[in-house]
Amino acid sequence: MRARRNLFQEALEAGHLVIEHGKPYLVGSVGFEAALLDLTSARAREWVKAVREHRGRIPAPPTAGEVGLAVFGT
Amino acid sequence: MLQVVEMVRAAGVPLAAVWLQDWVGKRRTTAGDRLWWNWVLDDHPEAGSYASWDAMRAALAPVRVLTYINNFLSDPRSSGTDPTVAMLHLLADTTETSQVGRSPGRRLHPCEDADADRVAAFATCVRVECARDATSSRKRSRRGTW
Repeated sequence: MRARRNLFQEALEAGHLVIEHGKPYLVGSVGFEAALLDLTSARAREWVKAVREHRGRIPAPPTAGEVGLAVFGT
Repeated sequence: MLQVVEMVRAAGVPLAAVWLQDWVGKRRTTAGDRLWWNWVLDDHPEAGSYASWDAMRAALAPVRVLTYINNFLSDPRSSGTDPTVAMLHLLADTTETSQVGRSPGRRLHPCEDADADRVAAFATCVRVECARDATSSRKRSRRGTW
């Protein structure tokens, strides 16, 4: 069983979170706290777009046909 | 959800898509059920909200499925389900937005202004209140999630 992704941890390690005084800037919500994704960063935007597209799942590796098509298309 | 879709179909109503806000799964807090702000499909085969996601989508087709994310990321290791902590957050929030206990120039966060004994007494009251309120909280939570 593959472990579920921790997107907070991934974003923190990749530098995609808003940081204040060296720590993720946490916003209080009712019952829990949350970090803010740094949408001023193009890398962070690309990252979250990929998350959204695959609904947080690890995308399956492309099939041989898709790889061939991608190479052919470039 | 599938029953609702079937009702709509049976009534001949055109249906383009369904919106599943709880695709990431939910956590229980005293403020009702909240979404996990960790934008990963809750498709665990036993415990998941949508264990058969791909089969469900295939069954719904051509009706499409819309989901939702926001700009926050909450560490899923912090459970956020401690009722006392949740209630303290709730009180702090409502105090800061001046919905209750408005007192100009003075923050009323119970943890900051009260001494240790009063905090302990307050926490006990919150626990009692949470226990008493469990039933109505469940009713509230059915109204929706954030």
